[in-house]
Amino acid sequence: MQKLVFAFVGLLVGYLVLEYDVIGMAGSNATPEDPSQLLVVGPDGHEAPGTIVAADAPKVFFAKDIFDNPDQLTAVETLADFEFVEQVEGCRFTPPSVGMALANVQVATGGGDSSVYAYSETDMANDLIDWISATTNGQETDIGEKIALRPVGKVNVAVTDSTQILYLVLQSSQSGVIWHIHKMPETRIARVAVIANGTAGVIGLDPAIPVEYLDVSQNEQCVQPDRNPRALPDYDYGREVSRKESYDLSRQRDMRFRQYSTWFLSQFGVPSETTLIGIAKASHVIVGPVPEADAPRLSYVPMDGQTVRVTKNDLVYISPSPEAATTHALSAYSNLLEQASGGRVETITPAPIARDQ
Amino acid sequence: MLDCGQWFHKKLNLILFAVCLHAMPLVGHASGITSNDIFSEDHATLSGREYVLTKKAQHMAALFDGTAPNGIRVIEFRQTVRIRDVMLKDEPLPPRHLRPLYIHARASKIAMSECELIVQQLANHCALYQIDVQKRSEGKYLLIAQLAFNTLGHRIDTSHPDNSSYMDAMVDLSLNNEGIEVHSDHLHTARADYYGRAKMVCDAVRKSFGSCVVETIYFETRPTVGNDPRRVYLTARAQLGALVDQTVTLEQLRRVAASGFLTTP
Repeated sequence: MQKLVFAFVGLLVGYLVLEYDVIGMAGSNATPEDPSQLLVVGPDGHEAPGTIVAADAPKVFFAKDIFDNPDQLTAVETLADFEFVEQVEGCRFTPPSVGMALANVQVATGGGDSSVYAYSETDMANDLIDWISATTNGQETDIGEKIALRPVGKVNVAVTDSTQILYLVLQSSQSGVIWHIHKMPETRIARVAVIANGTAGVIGLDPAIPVEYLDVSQNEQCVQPDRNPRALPDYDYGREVSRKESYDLSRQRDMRFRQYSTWFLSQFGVPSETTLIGIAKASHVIVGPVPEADAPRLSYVPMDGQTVRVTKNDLVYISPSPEAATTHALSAYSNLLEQASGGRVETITPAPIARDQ
Repeated sequence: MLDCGQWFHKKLNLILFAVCLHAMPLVGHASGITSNDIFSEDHATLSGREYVLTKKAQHMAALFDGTAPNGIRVIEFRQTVRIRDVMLKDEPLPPRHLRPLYIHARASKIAMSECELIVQQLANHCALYQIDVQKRSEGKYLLIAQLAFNTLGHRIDTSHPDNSSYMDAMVDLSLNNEGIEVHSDHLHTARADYYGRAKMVCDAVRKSFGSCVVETIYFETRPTVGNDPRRVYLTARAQLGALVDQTVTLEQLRRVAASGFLTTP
């Protein structure tokens, strides 16, 4: 009996060592040859680490096969300036002209962090609502903890298609994104449309190229970018989801997607899933072919000293410095809270009242 | 955290499933009891029966404690609000994207105006206990506030519960069970009326049995049969608690409470 127990324990230990890579055997392996093995599934679809470039779905490549200086991709950068641009009116973009090819790029959020720290009034309002809810329900919360110093997400766009005149449509559904454009020589971009759900910006583009912006978080009548849920991988929510809840969720997503697809077709003349480039969370995307092994690759040009063109929305503050952003944010949050409470912040957590004796 | 069933389903490993089932009680997962429950000071020093009695005595003491509001006596207050309802006179409406924040930031103030009604009619003190704001359609928000209060009346000694027993009763404050017909914009006047009625019935119980607290009041609205959809019936029920002689029956308590309606305020 004792032998059986020892044998069982031995089997168990062996299983755990292999299953959970206790001695780091998996870590000794080199990077897999297939980049898609590095993708993980998140709530909005596939997510890629910073070493992966997303192409037309579901293709992905290694950044080292596209950029000649991939080590620069994660370097800290300092921007020179910001330029604010107006948004389109009535959710309407300039349609593509004859001869233009649509480069349809969509992510849920940028996988990389830009050097842009920005707060819009909507971001601040959402943070303050969280703080008020916690405080009025007895949780002692420091308002400073709710001020999330979040850099705007960033996606590098490698443009390698030199066979057509491109109309870039850059879409992000979950948060604002800075799109950093890197062009191969001979490539031609005629026009850019940016559709975001938060602060959005473009950098690395010739100033003569027209760019139109839409931040759907500021335009309730406009539909937010979405992907066909049927084309997305199943996500493990980490909890029991009843059949009805699952049905309701997928039905809601279906409806949202159909609304977006209809709107996209009306603006750009093709359904929103046509040759769709990008995955849910990506740091880089590629528009065009991957350079041949012996062909020159793209040079990543850092953002240093460049001007970002960002949407003019309810942005309260934007800075390349996290320290300056924090200092400014504290006073900006306090002012907004005071204004929202009618000048009496203390009424948010009122003292008990007593009967007049 | 996965339970054994989920884990088994994922791993399809019968042997480990068996091990998992045996291991779970050791980490306090399968039993649903946390280490706090097991090792709390009360539990460590008291027998099960003593623990329950102590908890019960603490609850009684808090329930009949007239000195301060606490989370034992709570009135849930619900109100639909629009942005205009929370704005000051002549204050311009905020931009659309800031309206949810304005509603959240000013919800406590609306809840505290209900507290003023409660202290006028029923309580010595009233405080905001919990508040929730839920977005509804067409610019409406549902405010759900729980207001803690302490009933008017003397503090009752609950240190000798063996001499009397605790009894609670649900009393319909609507009399004819139809409720008060009121315009939905003026529900507060009807609620004030019900707070007054709750005090009257509790006073009657206190007069007869020596103790009474209003533990909570539940409100319900339903549409009237008329053409105006904004007119509703508001009904209310109060839960009363009292320490009474062990010979007193629930029926007696209810009868005495109902007699409170006959009392002139």
